Amino acid sequence: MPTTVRVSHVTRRYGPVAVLDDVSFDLSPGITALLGPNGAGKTTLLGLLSTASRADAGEITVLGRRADGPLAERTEIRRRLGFLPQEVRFPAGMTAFGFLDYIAVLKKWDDTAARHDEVRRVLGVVGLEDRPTIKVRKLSGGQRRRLAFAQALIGDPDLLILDEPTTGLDPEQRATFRSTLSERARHGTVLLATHQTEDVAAVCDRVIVLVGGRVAHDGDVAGFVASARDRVWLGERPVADAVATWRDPGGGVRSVGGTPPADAQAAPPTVEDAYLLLVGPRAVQGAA
Amino acid sequence: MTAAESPAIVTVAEPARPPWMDLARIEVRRYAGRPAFLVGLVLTYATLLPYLDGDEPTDELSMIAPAALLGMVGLSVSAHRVWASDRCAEAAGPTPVGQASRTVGHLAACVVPFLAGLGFVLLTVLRAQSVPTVRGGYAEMMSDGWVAAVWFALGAVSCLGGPILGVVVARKTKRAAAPIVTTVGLVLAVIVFQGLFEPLRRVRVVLPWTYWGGPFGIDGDPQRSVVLSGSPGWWLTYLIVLCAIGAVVAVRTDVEARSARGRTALIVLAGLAVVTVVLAMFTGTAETLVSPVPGDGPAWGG
Repeated sequence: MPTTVRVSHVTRRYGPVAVLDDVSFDLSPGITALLGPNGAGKTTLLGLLSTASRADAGEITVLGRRADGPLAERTEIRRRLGFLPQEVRFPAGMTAFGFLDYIAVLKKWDDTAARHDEVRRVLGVVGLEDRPTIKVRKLSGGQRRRLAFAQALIGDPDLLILDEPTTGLDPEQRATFRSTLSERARHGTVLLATHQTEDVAAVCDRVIVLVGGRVAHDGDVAGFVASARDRVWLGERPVADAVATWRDPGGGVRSVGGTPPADAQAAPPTVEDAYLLLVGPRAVQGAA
Repeated sequence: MTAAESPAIVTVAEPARPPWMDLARIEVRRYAGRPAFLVGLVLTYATLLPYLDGDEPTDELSMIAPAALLGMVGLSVSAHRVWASDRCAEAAGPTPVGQASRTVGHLAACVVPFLAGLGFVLLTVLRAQSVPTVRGGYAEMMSDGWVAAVWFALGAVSCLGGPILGVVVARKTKRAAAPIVTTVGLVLAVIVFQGLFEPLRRVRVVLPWTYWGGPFGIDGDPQRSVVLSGSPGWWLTYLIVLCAIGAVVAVRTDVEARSARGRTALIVLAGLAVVTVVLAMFTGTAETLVSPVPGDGPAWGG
């Protein structure tokens, strides 16, 4: 399987602070989740991969081109890259179609008819095909998020980098999103930075966890979940030294980590449990 | 590294034409559809209505309509168009077509207000040819070339310069008030430099808007008509150079697009600006021409 992205000993500093510290991993076709608490360096890493910024040390190769290479190399990467930022500020007064059409031009779609066909296609993929002429400001939050996702799909990119794509989506929209991602994963590479661990469990093949600017875990999702086996408990009372505890819908208390009391029973772990155990109190603080 | 592990190398064919051409087409259409531009356009041409069936003199004062309603309004229109396209670009992250191409698209859209201003000037010229007294005032004493340069600079080039300045402002700052602050600053500078104050009459041509004549008064006669010194031809050239400087500065705000050639162009243009503004000051009409008619009487040609 070809390597789409190669990150080799990458460090990125903001002043004296190393936001990314000697990070290395490869990406191949499929869906890889990027997890980590707030401030772990996820957005910085995505910025480097998308050629928006440059590493202070190390090397990043995307689709065979150096992400910190000359402009021609970076342009080649950008042509085959779909990127969805965490926050999208839409221009006032633009229609959904106009917004996507403009971005398609920025992605070098110079044939007007083909470009318009492509815009209609991605509108259909995100379920907005019946709303092309509506002003963006009149779309709901979830529709705007889908529109932002649609721009990342223009040109059927080989590499899709998504930063918190499902924020603001309702369950049905999230299911549609997962279907789209699953389809994409058949012939492309998707890097999904998210806090939604249920999305990771649903569609991702692999998970990378960043903690404090370093790779704390890199492996398949099943193995990641398995790392939490026999460390998640259901009981009557919270486990005193657990990383996190909360009320279970069954009436008991679910505890992640810690020393279980005698009456506690091991519960099947989830991605979220494994993440909490790996990241520890920082995850709980980050979520607060 | 084995062949199977090698990073996938993808090469995509170059588009048939430069992307800025598509962007220019989009931005021209969007600029032309902006309500602020359309209102300014209607109001500008509405100022011609009183002249339709009369022989009211027309002079450079009438050129304030396109300069204010298309040029200065254009400063804000351009700035907001740039910011809107920035939001689109930010939504997509880094794209193959960069900020410099988008800037060129916005600069190309400045042709819309320019053509509108040019149309206004041409209508005024046509009227001046058909109505003998239309030129009126001090301008009647000057050559056709002098009058054409002044009218073209004030009525058409200002409609190009304002929007270009808007692109520059938007490229230099994201502050929403910047276009308005720039416009107000420009108006205040024009009020000071426009020629009302005798000590500033020689250097007034450093401004992209200034008067070349009018009832500005001299020697204790506050209403006396005068023609101010300088060469409107060189001033017109200076204004066009300023527009070119603005365009280069705007494009060069994109760090990825900066080149030694662009820097050289900027240096050459800055030199040209100095040369042309000095020529505008010291060639042409050598001294202020004063109407022999006292200020309370009719002005030149009246």
